[in-house]
Amino acid sequence: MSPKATAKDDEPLPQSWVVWALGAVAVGFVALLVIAGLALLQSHHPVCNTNFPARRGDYPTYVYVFAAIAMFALGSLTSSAGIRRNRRSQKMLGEGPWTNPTAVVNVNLAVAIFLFLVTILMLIEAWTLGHGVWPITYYVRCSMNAGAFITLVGVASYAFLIGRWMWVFKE
Amino acid sequence: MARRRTGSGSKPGPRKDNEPLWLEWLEQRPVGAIGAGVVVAGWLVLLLLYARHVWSLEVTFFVAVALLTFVLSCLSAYAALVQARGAKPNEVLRLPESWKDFENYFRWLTPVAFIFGLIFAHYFWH
Repeated sequence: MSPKATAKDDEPLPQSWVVWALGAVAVGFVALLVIAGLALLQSHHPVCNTNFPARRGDYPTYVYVFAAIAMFALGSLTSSAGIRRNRRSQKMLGEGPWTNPTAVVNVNLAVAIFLFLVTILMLIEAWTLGHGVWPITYYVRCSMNAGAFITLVGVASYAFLIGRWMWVFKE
Repeated sequence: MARRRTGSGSKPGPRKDNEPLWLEWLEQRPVGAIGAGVVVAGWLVLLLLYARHVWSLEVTFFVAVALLTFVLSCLSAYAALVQARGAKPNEVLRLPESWKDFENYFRWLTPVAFIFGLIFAHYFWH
């Protein structure tokens, strides 16, 4: 145990309200997806230009870029704040409460699956760009044209989760 | 039941009877260094393809990112596999001793990659 470690470090993690809050947000997203899906299904006209979706929607593109960066940082900060609030020291995977081998394997598998999905998305983007088919970028632009606010919420949420799960500082 | 695991080509130990030979072989190799080599070699090939106008800049960029994430995914899957067979997390894919001093800087790789990727990919907003 390092000198900075506290006795609490080896105790199991308490049930946190954050889990419930994130669960509620997840349910909210599912509801939002259903509403957006229904709106698309019931729409009698294309929701954006089907040949070349416009680059700009209701908000300038830098709003999305900086919102994503800000939420990424916020995700990391909330993660660190939770650790400090519980008066624990930041532990590496495999130390303190994270010693359970199943947890260690699951975390690494989850990262592997996530990165593999990103790989597939990148290859789809590259293939579509090279073959004159709508790339993923166009679907994002179409979404931005059809519902700027919902798209911004989606971008910000994704960045928040990535920041929270994948950028954890060890003090 | 923790025992030797490396992934970086050191600390060989006794082989477990039910362990596949290929896994045993792999554990004695510098897996992380091989992964880094594959990425660098792949990027050089992609650079060549772009320079010879085989692929456009956009296609080359996304294939380069795909190669990086694929190799990282394989390394993570490898870590999960050897940890499932009893390795401790800090025994898998260890940094070489000479790199230990830079370990604190590596924690900045995730945000730098995210922000760089976001801004640079945004360039391809067409």
